[in-house]
Amino acid sequence: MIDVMNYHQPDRSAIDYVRPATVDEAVAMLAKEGTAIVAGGTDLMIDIRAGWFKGNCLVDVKHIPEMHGIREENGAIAIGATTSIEELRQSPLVREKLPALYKATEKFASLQVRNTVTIGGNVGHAAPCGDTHPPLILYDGEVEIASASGRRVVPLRETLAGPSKSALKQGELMTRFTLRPRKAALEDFQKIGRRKDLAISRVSLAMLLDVDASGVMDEVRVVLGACMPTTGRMPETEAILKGNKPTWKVFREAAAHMAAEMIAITGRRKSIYYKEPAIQGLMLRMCIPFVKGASK
Amino acid sequence: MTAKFIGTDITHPRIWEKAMGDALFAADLAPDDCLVLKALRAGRHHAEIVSIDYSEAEKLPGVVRIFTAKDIPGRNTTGIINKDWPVLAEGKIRSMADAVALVAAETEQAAQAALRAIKVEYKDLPALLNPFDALKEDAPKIHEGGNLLFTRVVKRGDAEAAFATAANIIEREYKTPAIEHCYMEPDAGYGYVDEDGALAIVVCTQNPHFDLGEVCAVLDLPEDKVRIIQAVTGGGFGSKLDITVQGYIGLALYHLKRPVRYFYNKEEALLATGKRHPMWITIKTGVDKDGKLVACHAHITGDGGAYGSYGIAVATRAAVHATGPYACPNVDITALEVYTNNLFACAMRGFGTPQVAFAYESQMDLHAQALGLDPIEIRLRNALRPGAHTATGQLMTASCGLPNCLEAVKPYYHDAVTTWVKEEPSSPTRRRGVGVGAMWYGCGSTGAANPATAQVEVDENGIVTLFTGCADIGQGSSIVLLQLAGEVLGLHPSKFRLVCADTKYTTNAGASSASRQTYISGNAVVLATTEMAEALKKAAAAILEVGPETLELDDGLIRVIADHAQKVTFADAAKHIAKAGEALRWEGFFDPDTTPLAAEDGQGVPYGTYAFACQMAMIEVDVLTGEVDVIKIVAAHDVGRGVSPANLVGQIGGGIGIGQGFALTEEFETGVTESLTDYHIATVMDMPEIVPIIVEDHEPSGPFGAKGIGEPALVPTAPAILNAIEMALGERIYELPANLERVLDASRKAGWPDKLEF
Amino acid sequence: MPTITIKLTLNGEQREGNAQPAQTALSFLRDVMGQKSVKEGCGIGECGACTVIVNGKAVNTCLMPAGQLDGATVITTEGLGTEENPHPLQSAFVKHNAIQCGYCSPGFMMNAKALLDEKPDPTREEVSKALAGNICRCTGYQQIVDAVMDAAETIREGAGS
Repeated sequence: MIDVMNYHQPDRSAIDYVRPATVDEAVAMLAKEGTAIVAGGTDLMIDIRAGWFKGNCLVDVKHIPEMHGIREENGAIAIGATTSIEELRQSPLVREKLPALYKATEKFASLQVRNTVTIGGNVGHAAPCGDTHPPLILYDGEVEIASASGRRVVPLRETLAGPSKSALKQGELMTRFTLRPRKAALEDFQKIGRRKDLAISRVSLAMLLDVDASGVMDEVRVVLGACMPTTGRMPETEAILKGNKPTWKVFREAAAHMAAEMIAITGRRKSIYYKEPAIQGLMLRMCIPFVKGASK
Repeated sequence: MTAKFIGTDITHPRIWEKAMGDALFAADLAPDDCLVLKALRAGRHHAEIVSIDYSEAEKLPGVVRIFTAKDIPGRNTTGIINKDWPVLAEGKIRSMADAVALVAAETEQAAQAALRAIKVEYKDLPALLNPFDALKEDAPKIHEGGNLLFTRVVKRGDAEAAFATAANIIEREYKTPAIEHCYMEPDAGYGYVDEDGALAIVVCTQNPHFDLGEVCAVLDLPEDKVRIIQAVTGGGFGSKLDITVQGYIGLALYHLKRPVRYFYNKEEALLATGKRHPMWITIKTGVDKDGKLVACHAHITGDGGAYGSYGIAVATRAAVHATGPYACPNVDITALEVYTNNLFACAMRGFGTPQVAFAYESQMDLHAQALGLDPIEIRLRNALRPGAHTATGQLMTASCGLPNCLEAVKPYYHDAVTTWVKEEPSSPTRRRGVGVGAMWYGCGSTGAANPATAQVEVDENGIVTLFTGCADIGQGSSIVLLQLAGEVLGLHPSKFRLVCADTKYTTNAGASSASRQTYISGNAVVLATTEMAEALKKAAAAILEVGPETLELDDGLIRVIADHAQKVTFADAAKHIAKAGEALRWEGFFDPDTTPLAAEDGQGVPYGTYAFACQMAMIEVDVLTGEVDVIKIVAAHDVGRGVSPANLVGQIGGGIGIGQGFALTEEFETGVTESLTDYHIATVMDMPEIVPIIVEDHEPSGPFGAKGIGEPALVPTAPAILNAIEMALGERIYELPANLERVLDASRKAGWPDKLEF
Repeated sequence: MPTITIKLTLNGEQREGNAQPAQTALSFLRDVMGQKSVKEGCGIGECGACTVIVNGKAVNTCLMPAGQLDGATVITTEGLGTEENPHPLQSAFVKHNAIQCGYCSPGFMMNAKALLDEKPDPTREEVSKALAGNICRCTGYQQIVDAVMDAAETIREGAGS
């Protein structure tokens, strides 16, 4: 039965709160059972209200200087895990070098939520409809994960493990993301929601497409969001496009295949009735300027 | 006569405190030491209660008392028309939201713990989740009287014979969903024992005097032992007409005699309050070769959910309005109100008419297409005008402003279809469409007495106080009533004291519903203030030794029209009246001139007046994804007389917002749309540009010619949008909402995705 | 039972109060700090009725643990203006009839203030984009956007004089 009344809220007075100043302090605290990371707090506060939160201590990582900010490092873009979505949206660096990520931040929830939600939180919560996921994968994102035993770097496609369950273990903390810009003829993210803003993605799609001197697509990345348990690239669909000229016909073929590739993973659930044609429509809509540009 | 205060924008008496953040809603007013109330909701559709054991729960720390049905001293049923809704369930569960027990505790935490500890054993019964299952012969009975609550028939002329003469007949089925009102303030109230020993309940409500009657009945108390005070109310749209927290607060207060409060959170406000009736409408209409309606046959099935609420009125209103705002000599309309195990359906802005408007306005466009007529033209040919009869046989005599509304929209429409729709859309995957929707709406209750009273007082200092039971829930009725009163007394609305919606000080004004307060309370206020004006003139005439007919009222003075130097203040006139031993208080009473509808054929005069409107929608549809973008809406509304222009525009904007949601995104599904994450109402980004046009076709029985706007603002929006989608896609949608799925489906049926080529 | 003392700058004044750190900033501001203009609408960040300005940014207080207010600078509608000297946003909301039931209004004004503090000359589109996280069921929004545009102009004129 639905817990509409939030009967099962934990006793909030039993939940402690600490503010570590460094990553080392934070991971030491997080090693304890019952601790949970809080940065923006948006998902966590909903979990508490709904009675899903079972912990006893909030470790607020928002005040760790190392975990915040956007920098260019050796051609890559490093983003601290507590950087807010609105900070990303307003960053000239993101807008110029990672346009598909910028577009995702434009359509992300509301201003109040963008001001609060951090990129680490959006990845850490790993909801399949998280709008930053497709562009993060599109730009070959990696995440640095700190723990008492040191730090490791993991590709994001391995971290976004599944519905609302990230690959983080107790005692681990995402500290920063590294994305690799790749200037291309088309770098885009679009989503379809039930309203223009403040909408959860029904479907979303990130694409990065480029052509070589002969007009043939040599770089093809297609990431489908909000449709499958795990957001990821669509290798078969990419293979159809790669090596071809960007024509309407080839995109039609790729779009149809992408739908089949999705259904192979999800099966024919009720929502597929819409998603099957909609993701094809979305891909076609996104490629129009590219097709038009190429045919000039 | 030029008006002084009518037709001008005058600042609402309470808007500044709202702007300052100082307006106190019920949840802001409740003292800190209130006990917390929470109900245990059944969470199942249909069941027998085998046992309730709260012995453990009552022992928990901080738990003060737990109530069940046996603690109710009076009548354990409430409801606006049918008294069938228990405050606390007795033996049986009929919907997910049914309250089984009520906890009073020291803290929120303790109340929650108590809810978890109450053990209820149920025996589940088959759940009837649509009216067709509920109407089956072998269906279990949800209420003792069976599942068919009510049938309304409206019959006139000979529809069958008339269809034989029709040049074009269209028959279609339409379906509309449950809708959540989604007012922003979740239901809230608190109670205390007041200075007179009465149980005072401060609550958000649309009808304090109804609440009073219900709480008295539940507690078996006379009306002077209960007091309802309307707090600043954060919207209602029909939902706050029913009892929400009042019964629980009253019950706890009755037993505990100490301050208690009950605030719903949004999830509970979504679950435990009424919804707009889902309706299934089969409609067949016939027109002659000129496009004039000759017959209308309609069968409407309304899902009333578990309890009656206003359901009978909703079914009746749907039937009465099913022809649309058109003259149709032969009608055969049946509307059923059916109990199911869904959340109860109640009044919602439009009362059944938005549902039928979707049907009758789709039909009108289908006829226009079949005959090659312009959509505005076919509506003009059919529009009700003075001399025409409605489906219930009511003779229209005045204030039929639909032709004016259609004429007002016409230039916009023709411009849109000749140029705008042919221009490049904002994206190559989009197609444009333009549609119109018209409507009519009877102001006030349907063929039933629904009077309002109001009083006005002047004291010996000349201070004028207006008393009204009318609940201003944000729609602005208070300023409208003050403007009317001010107009009669020649006194600026800001100079009045206003006493509003407190049952200790005000008398019944009826519900703030059915677009009736401007018309009905407005008339009561005009009558009361007119009596006062006459009394003041009589007193002044005696003082000045002139005839009362030579006098006028202006800014707190009674003066000789021809010689402004000869004057008496309100204060002096009041003293004169008091000296004569007469009361300084005047009352107005108004009940529209109606007759009940005959049970067998629905004939009668259901309303004193009707509002009319026409809206036009300009939209773009993405043929690849089903996204619909409403670009612009032109909204022409016949309000009789515009009393408060900014409020009219405000009602139109808000109505269009809810109407657009009804058209495109909103659908309440129990257990699915349980929070605002899943129930999608328009944000500012979704709203079109709105061009409001106020049409004034004077209503002789209205206060200064005015009639209502509240509900009419919403009704034509969805039909206009749906007709526009049809123009864009060449494919009509018959089920609301026209969401992503349905629009993309229609686009694919029309073959648009395949036709695109780049 | 963890209770912490939260020290904050609230509407320009140094204030402190005890909170359970995991209680919402919304309930701390309402129940402990007495800021009744901060309204609970949906409780889950979907309506904006509880918006206040924290360290210059508009945030939903229903989604913020009270602990995060420690050391913060907070503005609520109570701190926006006084009856004698209302903030231009308050005057403009009244002038444009941008308030009906009024439940959402404080949240709208907070969000609009944060916007205008950062960007004194927004376009209509930018105002709409910024306000998309505030739901109003009464007005249809047009008057609210009008009011914010008008207030922006008043503030700019005031700054220039």
